[in-house]
Amino acid sequence: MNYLKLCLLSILLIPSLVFAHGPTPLKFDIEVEVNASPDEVWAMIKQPCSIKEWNKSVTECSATGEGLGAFKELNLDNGEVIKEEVTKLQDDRKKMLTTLRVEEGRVIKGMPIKSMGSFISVSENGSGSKVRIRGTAYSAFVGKSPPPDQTDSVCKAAVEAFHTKTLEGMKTYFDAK
Amino acid sequence: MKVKFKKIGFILTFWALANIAWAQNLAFITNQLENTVSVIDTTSKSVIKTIEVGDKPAGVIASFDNKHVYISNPGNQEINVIDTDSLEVVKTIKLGQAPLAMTLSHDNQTLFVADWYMNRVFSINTQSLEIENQYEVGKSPSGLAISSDDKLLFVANKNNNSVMFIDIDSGKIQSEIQVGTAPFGITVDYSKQLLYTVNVQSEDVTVIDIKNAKVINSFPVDTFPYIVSIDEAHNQLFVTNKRDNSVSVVDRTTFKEIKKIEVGEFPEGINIHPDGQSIYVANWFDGTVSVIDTNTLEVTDTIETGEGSRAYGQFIIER
Repeated sequence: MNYLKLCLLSILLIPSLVFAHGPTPLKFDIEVEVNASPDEVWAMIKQPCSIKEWNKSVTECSATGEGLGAFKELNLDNGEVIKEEVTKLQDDRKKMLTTLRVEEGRVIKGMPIKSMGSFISVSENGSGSKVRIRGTAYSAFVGKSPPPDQTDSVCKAAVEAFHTKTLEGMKTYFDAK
Repeated sequence: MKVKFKKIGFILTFWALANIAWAQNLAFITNQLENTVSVIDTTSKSVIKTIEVGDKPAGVIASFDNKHVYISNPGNQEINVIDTDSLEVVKTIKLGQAPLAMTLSHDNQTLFVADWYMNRVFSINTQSLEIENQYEVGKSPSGLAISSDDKLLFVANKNNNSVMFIDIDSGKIQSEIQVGTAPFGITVDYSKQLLYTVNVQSEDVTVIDIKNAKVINSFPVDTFPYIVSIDEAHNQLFVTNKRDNSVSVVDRTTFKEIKKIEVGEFPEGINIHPDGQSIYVANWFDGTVSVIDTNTLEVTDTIETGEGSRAYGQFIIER
């Protein structure tokens, strides 16, 4: 294939890699108190697959890399797979941004979102820590009348439930240590 | 003679004081997650009224005569017209499937609204509130602006990674220019005849020369950038970085970063104040507005607004 054809092909391919979503970002903000020092909690959060220790919905986790750019695939107990990447890492603030994107045309059962940006951060809280997950998600459905299982409120509830499981699992994990 | 000077001095002082008292510039901040618009008095830097609008208000544009503010509501597909004297919604238009970005002709006669789902721009007569024309554009038109002579529309097509120049009279696509990945906000630099398109996913800004319809430069910003605001007096550009909780200040000639200013969380809409002394930034996550001094480049005030403050568009009026 000559260079020109390759260029043309790549131009044609670009739009299919872009992620369409709704015009209203959804907001989530969940916090939990954890019985461990911020340093201890942060060190574990930075391990890409630590979520498997906490979140009961995650049955398997595989990751490549660590820190900024770490990419992980999570198998969920409903048979779905989600993929996330660490797109921002602020060690000094104990804060990390994880970005989830779903391929065009795919709908995650139980969590019908197109993309999500989740900040996880750890702060001091007496002798322990506070861990907060906050950020934004976009529903996958494109159009003004989504089916009842793909509405903004379904998406928001699903995302909140997922992050709540992670945080509550984290609390239990450190309490048991 | 002496008396006369005194008199003139008195009149001038009175006039200046009266002006300060009467010059009440207002910022209209759409709060997308609580279906309201916060009206900020930019002199006292406080919210003087909260107006109920449609569902999921996002876009905002103030008319050039400062008499009206238009609000787009993708949630229930309507545009609200706010009267800037009464601070009430005086009219509402139903429109499309997800109206978001807006622009206005300089004579205030025509409002253009980009529909996120229909891949179309509507033009609306602001007197009759009837739809006059519909323009087919690219996928997920997210940014919309107009040329200084009101002949061209500039549309950022988020899912085509392109900017289109649409001839308003004929409806024809005059040019389509490839920019970065996922362009969102588009801002016209009228005195330089340039366009700045902010690309959310490639995290940069594309600079387009309007006359030649060509990309002449691009510069990096930070995570999930949204839109540019222009500060002509200090020759700088301000860009909101939604997932960096910051605003990049960039030199308007060299396009090099001067400073990055931390603001509230998830900043989106950004406007220069008409007096050129400050920049207003709506912080979506916090439900606040940060005010930045354009001289010191420091945040001087943070104003509580409402849930999901977006203020996507031109949101400050002069009164």
